[in-house]
Amino acid sequence: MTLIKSGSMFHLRPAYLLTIAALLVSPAWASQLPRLPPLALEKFPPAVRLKADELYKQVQKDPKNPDAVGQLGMFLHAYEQYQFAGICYERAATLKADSFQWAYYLGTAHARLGEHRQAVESFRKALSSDPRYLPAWLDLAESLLKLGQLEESGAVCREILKQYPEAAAAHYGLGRAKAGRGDLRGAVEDYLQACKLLPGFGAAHYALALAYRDLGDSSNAKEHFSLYERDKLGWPSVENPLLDAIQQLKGGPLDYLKRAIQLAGEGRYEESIREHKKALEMDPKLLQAHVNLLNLYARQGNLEEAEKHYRAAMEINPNRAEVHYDYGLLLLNRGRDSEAAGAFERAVQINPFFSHAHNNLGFILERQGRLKDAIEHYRSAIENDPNYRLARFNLGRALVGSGKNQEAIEEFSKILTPEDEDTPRFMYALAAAYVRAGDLEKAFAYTKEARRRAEALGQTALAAAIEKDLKKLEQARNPR
Amino acid sequence: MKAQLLVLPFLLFLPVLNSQTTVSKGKTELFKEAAAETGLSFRHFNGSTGQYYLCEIMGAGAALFDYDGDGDLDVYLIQGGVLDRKAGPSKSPRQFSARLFRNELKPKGRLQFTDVTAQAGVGHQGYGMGAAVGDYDNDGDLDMYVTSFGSNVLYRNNGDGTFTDVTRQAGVDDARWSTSAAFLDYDRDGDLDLFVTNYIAFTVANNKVCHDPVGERDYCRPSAYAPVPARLFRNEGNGKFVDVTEAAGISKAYGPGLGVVCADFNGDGWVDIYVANDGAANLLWINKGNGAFEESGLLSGAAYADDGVARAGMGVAAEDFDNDSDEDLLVSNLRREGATLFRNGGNGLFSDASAQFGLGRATFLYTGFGLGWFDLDNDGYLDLFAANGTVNILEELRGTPFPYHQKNQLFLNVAGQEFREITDQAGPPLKLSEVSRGAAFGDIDNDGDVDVLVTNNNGPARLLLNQLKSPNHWLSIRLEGVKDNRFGIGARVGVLRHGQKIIWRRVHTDGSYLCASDVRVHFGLGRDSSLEAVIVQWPNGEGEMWTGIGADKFVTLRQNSGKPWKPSR
Repeated sequence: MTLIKSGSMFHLRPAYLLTIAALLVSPAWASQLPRLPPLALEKFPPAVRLKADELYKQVQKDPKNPDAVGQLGMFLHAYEQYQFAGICYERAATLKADSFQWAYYLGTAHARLGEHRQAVESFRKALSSDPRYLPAWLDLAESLLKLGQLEESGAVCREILKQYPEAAAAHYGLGRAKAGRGDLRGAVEDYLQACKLLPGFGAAHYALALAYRDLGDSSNAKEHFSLYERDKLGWPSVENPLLDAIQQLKGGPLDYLKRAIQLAGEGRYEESIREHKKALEMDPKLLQAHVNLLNLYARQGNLEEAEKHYRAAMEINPNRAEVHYDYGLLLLNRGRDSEAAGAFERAVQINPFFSHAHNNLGFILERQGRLKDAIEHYRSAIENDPNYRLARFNLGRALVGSGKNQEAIEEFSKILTPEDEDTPRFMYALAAAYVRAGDLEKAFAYTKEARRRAEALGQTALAAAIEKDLKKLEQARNPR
Repeated sequence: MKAQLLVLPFLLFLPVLNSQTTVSKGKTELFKEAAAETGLSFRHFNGSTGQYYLCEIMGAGAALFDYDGDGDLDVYLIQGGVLDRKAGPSKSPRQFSARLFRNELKPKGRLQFTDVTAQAGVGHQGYGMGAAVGDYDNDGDLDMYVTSFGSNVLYRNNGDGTFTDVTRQAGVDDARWSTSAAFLDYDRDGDLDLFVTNYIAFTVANNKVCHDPVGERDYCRPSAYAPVPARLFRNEGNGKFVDVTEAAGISKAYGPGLGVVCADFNGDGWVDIYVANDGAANLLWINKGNGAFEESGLLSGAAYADDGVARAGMGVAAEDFDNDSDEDLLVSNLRREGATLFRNGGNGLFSDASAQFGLGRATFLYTGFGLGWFDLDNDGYLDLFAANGTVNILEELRGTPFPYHQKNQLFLNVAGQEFREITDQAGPPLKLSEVSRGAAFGDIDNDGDVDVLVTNNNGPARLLLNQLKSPNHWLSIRLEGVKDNRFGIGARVGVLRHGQKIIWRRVHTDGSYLCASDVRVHFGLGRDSSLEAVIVQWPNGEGEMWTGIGADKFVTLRQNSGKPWKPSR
């Protein structure tokens, strides 16, 4: 079942021939039904290809069955093949004119392709079959907005809010429609409502901040920019069983991997490990799954499993810097410094811009007394990630250790902001550098301030340690 | 006389802009593709071996500049190369070097290019990405900085048709993956400094395996790798630069940078820097005038599109497209994002006007890279060209070789109110579907209209000669700085006409994607050829005015040769 190239044309062997010309049995249908597109299915990986083939065969068996055609569309939709999915949906919707499902799916495919005029038509058609489906109304409002039909979009949002006054997305949509027509004050009211209903609604905070800014209210603008930054991607969840059904069609190893990565991002490590394993069951050579499992198991302290995945990853590709880095961390935590240094060295050979690997290598070298080399690696870490405060802190310490106090002071000074829980200890380090440099006044001032901040943050152990030094420093300043 | 001769062709052309049917019959061409017939024989080689190294799909750019000072634009085309020696072709590296083509328009009188790479000494053999052009040593000729996946190169123009690699002496190398770069005088000391955009910490050895949505092997997104910070080099005026990235505050924020453009966005007289990031917030570095910059992309509204979601910023253009005397921004993005038009409210605060001007939807299905505002028809409003081509497999091209190609796009600026797509009416060159990357702009044949040089990934360079022959008037101005940098980069040039709004344009070579464009400032003047005056606001803040300048010509304005003029902003 391979693709045969002939000149500039591609011919598919029968099993993959989705031009559907053969399916158009009735001439009457032929004039109305959209022809399905040719798909280069042989390019799909096996797990996806088999399922697509199965769905295709069903279409082949019953070409006038809207559900069979629609199912194929859903499958293609799941794999983001919107153009082809749209053609299937259109055919399904033509075969079953009163179907909400196929008209709605068609609308979503059009919207994903930026074909909002057609999307509006499909959403309206779907809603005429079943006006109860909230996501379809929201999608309709969005497509109208994209078309610049602000009045109509706003009207749809108002209709939604009559039925669903808690729909934050509709308040946001109404605000956008108003803002687009220059009614910023009206928009602010709606955005505020959206943010009230969902405090983590990033886009609404962003729109609100811009509206406040344009109204000259910089204080409120700043506040909402900052709220936006806290939760940029926050969006109201609206139950959408039809789209959920599409997501559930994805069952290849990469789909499991994707879900696993998402779960890890949410801190759900156990579930993530399970999904990773499912991915590996389907494709044992899936390098990224091994890389991630090495990291996840190392995080859990399960060294045996971590090692297993390290070895598996190395077998597949010994040139992944992350593998060496994660393994280096594992070794470092077991106190195997020399081996860890080797792993970090390999990581920076593969990726000379790997700031964390440089930092950790520097840390080990510093422990081994190789200050000059350590400083070099800390500097490389900072060069590639200037906001890497820990590397700068380490560099500062190493510089103090080398007697380069002024340089250390410069480095420590750069990490006092942003102010967070690390600031007291960085400030304390700065004070220590001033002591070494002989500037006791500055040392005293920074030590005092570090203590104050440590206390304010409830860092009692650090505050106590600073307190001891503060006393010594006071004595040094007043030797009587 | 020239204007009268041009009336007839324009009348024939008029329906093109008003009626699509006339154009669809293919009777007129807005552009003629003339690379091959003019000797601009160049094909980009991306070195792909099936390993999907990300840099393969990202390059490369070009420079349009008059390197020999003979009054016409020469062409420098950046080349890729072999990334994986074990898997790559056995051709010698020399065959993959960048090429310099000398324009023989002067003195021969016809557009013809000659490959002068070897004699000029600019056959860069690294894996090239882009070029920036400016006279960094103020000796009256244009120098060039070439960015690469790997070490960059500063070529000093010796003024005799040759260049010298002075990277080491100048101290401007960066071994990371650099993309677009720009010359600017950020400290207003009269010499050009250098901003280099860097992308991500990708290495060939650390290549990752990524897949498209169906699971076919494809290029990774930049988020698979860590971003690396940009660099700002301050020109010390003695041939050396100092890395001031950290001192100037530029290292405080960074993303996977691809495009850069420098202009005074908030009208305070100091040049600012805008960086388009791929998949992260775009950055607007506001020049504080004391050697430091402050990032204000978010507060200015130029970091994100109106939904607050970061786009995959690629190329960027900054011009006053609506002729309201401030610099607007346009960023090209990924397919299914659409380009973002950030309209300047006059105070450095931007609003996403992509939908309002019809650009969001028109560009939605394209992955845009190079782009530029230029006055296609010399009507005084800046039109738009976008070079497109995806970085991930296109659904409809799956199973075909190199399934990333798309058409480029052309938009007409309708009196600053709307961008109307006229791609289908622009003739055969705009019907080509290729993996375009760079777009550089300039009047290559010196006929009074702006032409476009397009670079293609793994494909030939295209020379799009403007065939409009509009009866509208024009003026092309080259500045000659005395106190400021020699080509006046960063200056604002305004054309005053009776009863009409002043048209402001900026002297620059930066913008687009990986490209350097003509340093001359081109003005379309519409039907009225009478000019009241030309005014220049120099980078050092001083203003000058010249009167008695006629239309339809190339002029050079030397600093201190005009009358003093007080800038109003």
